Amino acid sequence: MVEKMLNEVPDSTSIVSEAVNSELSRRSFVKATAATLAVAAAAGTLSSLVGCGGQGGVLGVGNSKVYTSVCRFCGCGCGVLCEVAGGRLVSVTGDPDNASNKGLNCVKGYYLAKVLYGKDRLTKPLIRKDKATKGTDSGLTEASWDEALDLVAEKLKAVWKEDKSRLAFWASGQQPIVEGYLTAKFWKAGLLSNNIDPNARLCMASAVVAFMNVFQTDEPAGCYEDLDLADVFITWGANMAEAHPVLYSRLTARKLNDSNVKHYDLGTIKTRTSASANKTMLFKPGTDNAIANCIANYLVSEEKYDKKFVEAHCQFKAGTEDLGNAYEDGWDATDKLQEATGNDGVWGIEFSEYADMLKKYTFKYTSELSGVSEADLKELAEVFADKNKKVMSLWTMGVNQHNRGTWMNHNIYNIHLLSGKFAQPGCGPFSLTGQPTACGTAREVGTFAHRLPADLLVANGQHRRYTEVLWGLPSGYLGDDEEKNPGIMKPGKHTIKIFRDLSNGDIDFLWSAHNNWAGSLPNLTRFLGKGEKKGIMDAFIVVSEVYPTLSCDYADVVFPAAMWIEREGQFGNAERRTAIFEKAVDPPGDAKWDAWILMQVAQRVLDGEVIGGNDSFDTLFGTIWDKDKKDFINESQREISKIVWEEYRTFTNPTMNPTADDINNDVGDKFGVTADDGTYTPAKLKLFAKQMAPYDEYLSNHGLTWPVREVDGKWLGTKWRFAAGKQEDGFDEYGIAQYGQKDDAGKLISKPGNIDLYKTAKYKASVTFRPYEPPAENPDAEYPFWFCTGRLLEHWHTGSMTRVVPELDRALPEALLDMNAADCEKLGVKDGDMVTVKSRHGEFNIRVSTAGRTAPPAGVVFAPFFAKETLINLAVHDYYDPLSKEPDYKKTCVSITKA
Amino acid sequence: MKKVIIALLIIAIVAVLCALAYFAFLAPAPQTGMPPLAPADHAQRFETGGADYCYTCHGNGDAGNPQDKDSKALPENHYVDGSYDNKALDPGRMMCNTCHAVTPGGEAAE
Repeated sequence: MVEKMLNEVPDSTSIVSEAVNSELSRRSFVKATAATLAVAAAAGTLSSLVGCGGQGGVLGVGNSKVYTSVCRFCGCGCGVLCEVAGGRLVSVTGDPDNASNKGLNCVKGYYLAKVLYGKDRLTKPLIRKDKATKGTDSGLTEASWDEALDLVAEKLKAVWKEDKSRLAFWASGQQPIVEGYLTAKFWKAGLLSNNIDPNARLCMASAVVAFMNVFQTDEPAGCYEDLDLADVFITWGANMAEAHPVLYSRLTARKLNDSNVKHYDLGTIKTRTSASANKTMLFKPGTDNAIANCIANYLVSEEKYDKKFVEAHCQFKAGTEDLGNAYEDGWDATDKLQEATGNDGVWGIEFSEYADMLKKYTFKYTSELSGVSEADLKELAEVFADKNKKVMSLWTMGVNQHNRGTWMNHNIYNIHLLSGKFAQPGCGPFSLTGQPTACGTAREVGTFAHRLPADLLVANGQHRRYTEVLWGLPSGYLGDDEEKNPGIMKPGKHTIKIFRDLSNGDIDFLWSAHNNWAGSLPNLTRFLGKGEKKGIMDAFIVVSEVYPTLSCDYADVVFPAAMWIEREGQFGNAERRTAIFEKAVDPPGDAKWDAWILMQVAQRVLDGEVIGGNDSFDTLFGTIWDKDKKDFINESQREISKIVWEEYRTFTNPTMNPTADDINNDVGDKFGVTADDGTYTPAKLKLFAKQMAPYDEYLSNHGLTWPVREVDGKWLGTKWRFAAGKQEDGFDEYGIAQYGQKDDAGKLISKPGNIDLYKTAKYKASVTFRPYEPPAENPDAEYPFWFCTGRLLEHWHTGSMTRVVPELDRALPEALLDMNAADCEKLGVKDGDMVTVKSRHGEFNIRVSTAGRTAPPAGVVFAPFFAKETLINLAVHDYYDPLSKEPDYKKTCVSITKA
Repeated sequence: MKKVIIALLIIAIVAVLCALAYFAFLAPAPQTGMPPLAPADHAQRFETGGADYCYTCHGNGDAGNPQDKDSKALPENHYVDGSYDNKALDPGRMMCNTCHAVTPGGEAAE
């Protein structure tokens, strides 16, 4: 039977077809069989395997092909298998060979099969000819690709030539890696503009800043396998059951497998995640920094911290305090923020000073402040004091979308570092990410306003030189003199700055892709021109989209884009796993691959421009694009992706380019520091710490976690960065061997905790004291409730894709305001009543529920943000964390009145 | 005449069948594999009793597979080691509401 099936599957790119290859191996045969069985079993129709029944009789096997892929939605980055028949996606199941999810999937993932086929897919370019129709769902008319591309290129070039500070690109943590890399390259090297920032600014920026502050490298040290091994889980303001469902299934499976495993859920509302926790600790919004400091204080004052670990791996610091809150447009330029983010914003202190700073955070003080009982706080602190417990902290938006989000990231690291619970199997802090490739694209290939590929920074001369070499640019092209040749030395506008400037009339050209800012930004009253600021109506706005969204209502041109597996793409998830989704079906109508759209615009805009005497476009994109043909040099997206990947991969494999490698190693002593005594300390980039593998390895391995090392001809991922042990077992053997601390004889020093923090300058993480400071707003007589927003299981972000799936829409058809029954009684409202939720920033109407998905305590209300008819972000404020510029979506003060 | 009518009738039937087959061939393949949603009266059942509650009707037990004959049986890959014989759910698949959302309208999955 299986033989027959395999003979009927001819596709050379699918895992099934591996088995029909002439060199049929046992492994590929078993794999193909498993894949086919998985698809068929999930289809609930094993009879389909023999083509004798079920629905149509040929599903799953007959003429179908199975493609390796990655889910389109959340930051879990689950591997999925996509079965295609008759040119259509017919089923999606979990990929058992992808270690991120091991075959598990969630309801959104399974229904991906329908996401491509909702009504109203955008299939033709659209142009708005009458500006008066902006802000409405009418006024866009169909146009040819040339017409739309010419118009966009003409506008972009005009603004670029006139004043490049007035243009911007808003990118995304859903933009595949190759597309993100090309976009960043066009913007930063082609246009010499840093006004490009991703929507990941709204979800991960606080985590990023803290990673760089503490470890001098981005992204977690651990991996998802920690979920299978931990003794204690602590979720900090994270509703994993709905926002990271498959990871939550792994967490609960671990608990079910061992009754001694515990889960503490800390948050401001009860959620589905609380339901299976051993204990839920509800704290007053914003007081989590105090709770973490309270734990640290207990560890230090009771001498229950890991002394050897701390001595070997930690240095202590303090930083600027009383940061205020960022709401006004000029706030970034204030003296306070300049101090906080400048070189003087953090300074070294002694451990004893750190201990003194913590003293205020007694159980009593913290309990009064947070509302968590002293007994519960002590119980939590004891978890960290127990040297035999493997503890995994998990957090995401509750911590990151926080007016002191960077500080809270610091504070979680502080307690893990003090207790020595770091980078060991089942033990360590784990920052979850929100989107499927917020790590892979937004963070790793440089679509942030301050970054270049591979965590490099635009403001660092050595980093710019390195990038120039790999991009084939003359030395100094990206800037070497702030006055005469600034290039891209100065970071560009971050997301909120871009949209504030847009509303103020200071942005003339905006292009967005893979996001729906008109639904997802905070303070939409400000940004959508519903208040006094009308700049959005005057700017020229381009939106690349798959379905009509609110953002399209403000667009002058809409590019219809290929969606998910309608082109080849790559995602990088929260455990540093890079994985590929194969092109499996064609896009509908005239919809195109985003990379094709970008190249078309870039060719037009850069026409006639030169870099170092050579044609600009050819210098940057000549390896993939034929200008005469006005198309890629190769029809295969796989081949184009490989070329781009190899270029990006060189950033993380410096020896592939000897000139770049000299810069990586600071050969010639150009970038380091010379002390007063003349001693020179070289500046080594240590870029192998992020090593990536050749493109095909990600397909054959169903994703790999970086750094990826070549060992005896095989490429092996790393599960635990900085942890000593064999590479084959997932430890960071080669990273430590290359960059780890050595004695005078060149021998690696063995360290407590079995780790080596080799990316930090002194081999020591920074434990920085970060105090509690109150939220930007606090409830008062006029606005007595805290309003919190977030995602729920069935819908992804603003619902533009998941709401087209009938089943997902039926399961969660309406955004409801979850309220505490006591609050309802006080206000005289009951389940089903419509109310007006009003803040200092805007208002919206919504239906009340006391039996909703979440259960807020009195004084707190919650509503998700997926529903455009409710548009809760009209009222959410846009105060942001001063260090990360990430807005605080969780703590807007509102009034509630019956509508 | 009768033979002609019968022949025409047969030709017509064959033509209709061919047309049906042709359009069936052209029609997009149906989508499968999506987990069925739970009807409205299942609201709060998982939240009340967890996977064990679901197993009572949908699982493989002494009363049969499924134990409630009117319920839909859980697929075999939901069991430990992918086997009904184990009569125990794979712990990774015990968050039933991760895939089987309840539809407030009570409709089942298409």
